[in-house]
Amino acid sequence: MAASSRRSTDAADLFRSSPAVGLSYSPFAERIVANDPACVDYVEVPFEQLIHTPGVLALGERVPLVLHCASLSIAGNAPPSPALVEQLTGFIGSTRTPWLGEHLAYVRADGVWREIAEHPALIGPESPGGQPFNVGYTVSPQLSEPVLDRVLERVRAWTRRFDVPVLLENGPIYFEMPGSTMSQFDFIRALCGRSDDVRLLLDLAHLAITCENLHVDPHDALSRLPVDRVVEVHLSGISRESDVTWDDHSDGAPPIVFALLEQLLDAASPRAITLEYNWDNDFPADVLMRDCRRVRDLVAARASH
Amino acid sequence: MDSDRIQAQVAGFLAGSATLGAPFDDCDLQRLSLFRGFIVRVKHNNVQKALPLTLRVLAASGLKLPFFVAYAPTYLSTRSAGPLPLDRQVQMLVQHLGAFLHDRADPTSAAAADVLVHEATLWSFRSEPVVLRDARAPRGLSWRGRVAVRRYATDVLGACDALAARRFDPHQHVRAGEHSLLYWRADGSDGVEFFEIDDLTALLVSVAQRRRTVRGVAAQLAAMHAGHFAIPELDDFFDGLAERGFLQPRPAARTASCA
Repeated sequence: MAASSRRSTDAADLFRSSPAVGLSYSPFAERIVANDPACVDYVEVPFEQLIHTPGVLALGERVPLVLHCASLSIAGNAPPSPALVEQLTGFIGSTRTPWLGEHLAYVRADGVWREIAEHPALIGPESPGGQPFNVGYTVSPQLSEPVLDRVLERVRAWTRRFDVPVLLENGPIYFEMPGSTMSQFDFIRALCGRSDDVRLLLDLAHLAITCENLHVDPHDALSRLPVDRVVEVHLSGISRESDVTWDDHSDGAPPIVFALLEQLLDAASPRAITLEYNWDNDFPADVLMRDCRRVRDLVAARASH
Repeated sequence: MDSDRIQAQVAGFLAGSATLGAPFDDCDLQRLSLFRGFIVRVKHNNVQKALPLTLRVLAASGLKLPFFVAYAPTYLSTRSAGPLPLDRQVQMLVQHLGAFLHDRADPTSAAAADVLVHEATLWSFRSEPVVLRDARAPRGLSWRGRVAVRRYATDVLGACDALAARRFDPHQHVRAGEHSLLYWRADGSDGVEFFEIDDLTALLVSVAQRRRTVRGVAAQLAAMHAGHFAIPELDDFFDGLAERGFLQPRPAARTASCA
């Protein structure tokens, strides 16, 4: 069997059995794969990383890869360029990813609202509406019916286009978008209620952050989510500054995130659990090993019942 | 409330616009300013390659988000013209962070400023291409590499050790202590070294960076009212630096005595 075929088969088997444990890509992750290959079952690679350093693909010769994306702007009205879609399609093929994780968010919004488009660099001659505002970061959208319809249509369209499931990841909410008519949790439940095909990437750190910022009980919030739709889980750190709780991939997952993971594993069987520890090039290896072991112990405890 | 309009307003602000407009109020503006600073902070994760301990001391001191909130408009305005290479990103950050810390004037900010200067100096030295100079016998004082002197008000090396070990505590590791470090990168070498030096060495090396003869150094010291230095004493000092490899060996004829 050719090496590439063996790797794809291995990946398919990997995600069929009990939850695989992986790591988000960073130079630190490369060292872990090289020095402690048994520590992680896969590496999740951002599409945006592959654009800048396609050489990262070579990691796929040693460990299965899962592709993550933050460029489709699924909840926004400024779609990705054809060139970007073509690149993404190529990487979906070359990574042999079993699914594509994307955010329930927008990254770009068109500049048609000229009266508030004050930044001259963001208004271009190319289109009547001007160039889009490109935040370059995922922003949780207005949680309303029109956005829900758009997200559902886009997820279906991208799934058909890419021929792999597109998982929707819950983003952290730092402020309430005007015009929202429902909570993020109700939005996700409504999406899943309208289509049996919607699948989720549940970021438990983001859930904890959203709940802290909105003063909501995270265990209650988790209990209201359709966890049977969860395919992948993200774990990462959180930080608190200026009276706001923030995402922090330079720290290990705090107790609340592990408590939520236990609650989730009691109710569902995700295929993959990713430690998203990718903002510190010198992330402490002992913290990573500790958290990997902890996740595997939690999974094993439930498998034995 | 139209989702496209609302999302465009937020996107415009996060991408660098100065205002939000209705229906956002001052509270929203403040929260979105924090988010904008957070985004810019994440976009500086790659600066770890140059200033890892500076980023850690900011985080440990509770200054990281406040700085990036203040810095975000300037950064986004520059960034709007296109991606910034790492060197330019570091250069801008050093300039603005230095000013931010200087304006705060508290002991922790002073320690963070010293860590910034130390790391920025090392980065600057390491980033330069390797230089091979003409080995012919020079006239006057000729350095055999790149040299710089930095003056610090705090125990910067103690702070850096604690930061590197991830055990930095502002209550323990912010310590006053005036001292100077000499930074050195020999021609043809990739390595950068630094040494603690006394005040006199700091003074003489600093002057010698601008004056190429011993007589010139003496004149500069006199003009600075830094004290009287006899030419033979200065000759001995610079010969010592030559013996240790910092200066090209000087011609056998020493500087003529002052009349």
